[in-house]
Amino acid sequence: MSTVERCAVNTSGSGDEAIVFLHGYGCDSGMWRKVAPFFEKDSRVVTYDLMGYGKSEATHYDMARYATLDGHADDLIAILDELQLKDVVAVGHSVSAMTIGLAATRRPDLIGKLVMICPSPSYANDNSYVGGFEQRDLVGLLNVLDVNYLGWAQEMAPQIMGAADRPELGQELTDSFCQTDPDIARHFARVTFLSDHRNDVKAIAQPTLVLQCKDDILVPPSVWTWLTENMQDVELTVLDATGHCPHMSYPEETIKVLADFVRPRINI
Amino acid sequence: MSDSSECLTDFDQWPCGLAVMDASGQLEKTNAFLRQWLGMDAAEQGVDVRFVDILSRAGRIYFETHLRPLLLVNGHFSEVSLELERPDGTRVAVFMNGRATLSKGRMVSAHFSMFRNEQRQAFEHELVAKRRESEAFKVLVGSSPYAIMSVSMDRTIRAWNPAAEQLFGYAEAEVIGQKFDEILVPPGDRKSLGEDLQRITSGETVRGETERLHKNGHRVQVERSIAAIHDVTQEYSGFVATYSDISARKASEAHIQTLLQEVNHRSKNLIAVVQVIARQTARMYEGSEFFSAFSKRLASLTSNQDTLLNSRGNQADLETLARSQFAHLVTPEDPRITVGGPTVQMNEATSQAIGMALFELATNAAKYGGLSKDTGSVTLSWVVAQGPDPKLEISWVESGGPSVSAPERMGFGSQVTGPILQGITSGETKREFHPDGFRWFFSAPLAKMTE
Repeated sequence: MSTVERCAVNTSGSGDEAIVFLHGYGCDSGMWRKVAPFFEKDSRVVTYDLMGYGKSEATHYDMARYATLDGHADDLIAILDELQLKDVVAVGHSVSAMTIGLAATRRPDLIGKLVMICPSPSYANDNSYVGGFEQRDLVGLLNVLDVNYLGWAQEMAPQIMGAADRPELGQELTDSFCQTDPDIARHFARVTFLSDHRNDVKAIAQPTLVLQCKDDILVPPSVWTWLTENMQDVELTVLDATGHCPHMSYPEETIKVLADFVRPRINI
Repeated sequence: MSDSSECLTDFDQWPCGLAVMDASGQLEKTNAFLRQWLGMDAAEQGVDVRFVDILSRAGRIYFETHLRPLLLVNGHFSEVSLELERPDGTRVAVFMNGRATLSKGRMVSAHFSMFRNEQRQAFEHELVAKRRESEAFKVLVGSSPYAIMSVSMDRTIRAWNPAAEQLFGYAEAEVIGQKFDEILVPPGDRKSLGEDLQRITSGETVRGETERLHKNGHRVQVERSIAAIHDVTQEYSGFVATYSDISARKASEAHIQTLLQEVNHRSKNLIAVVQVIARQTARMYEGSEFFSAFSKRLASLTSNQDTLLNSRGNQADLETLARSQFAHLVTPEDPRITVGGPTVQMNEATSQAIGMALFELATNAAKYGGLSKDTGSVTLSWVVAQGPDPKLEISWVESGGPSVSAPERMGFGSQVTGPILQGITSGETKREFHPDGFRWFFSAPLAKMTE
């Protein structure tokens, strides 16, 4: 099975350029439904589900392989190779901003430009670096996940709902948006929130756009500042917006900023 | 009758927390219950407090990574277990439902209702802890060196770990659903199993040694531990059995028992032999001579013991035994002595008797015979005469020594090279006082000496 199949890759649009979108922690490629189609008219658009999420073949989720973001970066590289795409624009939301960075450093031929949406190289405070969270807050998230996945896990859903005779209830829950296997969610949460990629982002040589919401509970201004001071070729755009998912909450604004960065000569 | 056109408006009276978040994420409105939970002043609401600010920090991450996307895509979420956080850091556990008002894909506002669920959340945390515990337990059972199985009340095997596969030979798939007693319990023990189950239902853990059946039919000696398990209604629902293989321990216990008996037997034998040596030696020697002769004869016995022990207890090699009988007289390389014959392993009694005989012959040769002169020699050789009843034939031939003649009376040497040896081996001995030197021949059925 190819990586393209394993990660439920979806390609659309046509054009000389290609743009690949990687969703962030917690959801799936459905996050891009209001943004990605815009680019179809003059680019090839690639979206896919990170291994373990959405329609990916979660049986391939190997805890050792995905214990760091390198496993996900390997997948991105494999997908671009399989699709024979080069010099693409990689758009990564949240944790995937780090994944595209790792892939871009390892294979500069594949990725020409990067867009990081609400990225954080490290969520935990560390001396003078203010990531925004203490270790205990991040560990607390794992507990929130555990408690809330009790009723959502595929194996548990029908029993918990007390409706073994109505398995469709469980099915509905587990098939809906943003649901995944609780063990994978927990594992990926650990990888996402307890990793430190500050050195990795310093190594990225390609032009990088950091798109940030002004009021993002996950990424305080100290993190944007750190990125602009430490990355080689970075441009910061701050949307006057709230939340961690501007591509969902503010798709028009997000499209405009993205398009300006991807094709600076075209006016929208 | 109330006015049917009247709408519910008195939100502060509702026993739940209610909140409205505006498009920019600010906490726009709250009801009294929620403010009371949060220790919040009515005047504070809407004043630069974001909705996420009332959540725990972990809850904020969860809201932004899971719940806000759900609101934007599905328009709602429900039954989410979260903690609210007061400004002083203390928390309130709630179940939260959320519903978004969307316009052209934008969230215009969102409404949240919350019920406190401290008790239920404590239970949920317990569930999570149990789940982790059960995962740890699974690993424990899977990796245990003890065979562990779970059996239901009707004696059907429900779980079977890898160590059980090892110990009893059945793969898990072969035994799940099979009857515990039919698979494992020897037919004669099935009645007592019923008694054991009676005991465990009263809360006892039954421990002890027993035997269980292996797939290939043989019995395995095991130490077991059986305890009852109970279902949700606390009714007896079956039992868990743990077994460890004690056959190696049992075998070594039996071996130790045999060894003890043997030591006892050998000690008695030795003492009897020592008595004979003492009596015979006392007839010939007195005073310090007695002590010297007696010591040497005991040394021969000791070297017999060593030969026996070095060959692991109960078989002694004839050549090793023979050579050791000269050790107290001459150096091992003495060219006057020739020892040789086929390999013969002898049992303990025979080796003692032959050892003593050879010792006396060697001592006698050193004192009066072939080994008393530099020109003399002793040739000790043996053959196994084949036939329907194979015999061991030993010959002792001295030469080059002083002329010899038959002794006047039967000393200890004559006893151990004659009647005593004959008695023990059912053999025959012959002495010749040849002009060239003393000769001794021994012949006995091989089978009796080696068994």
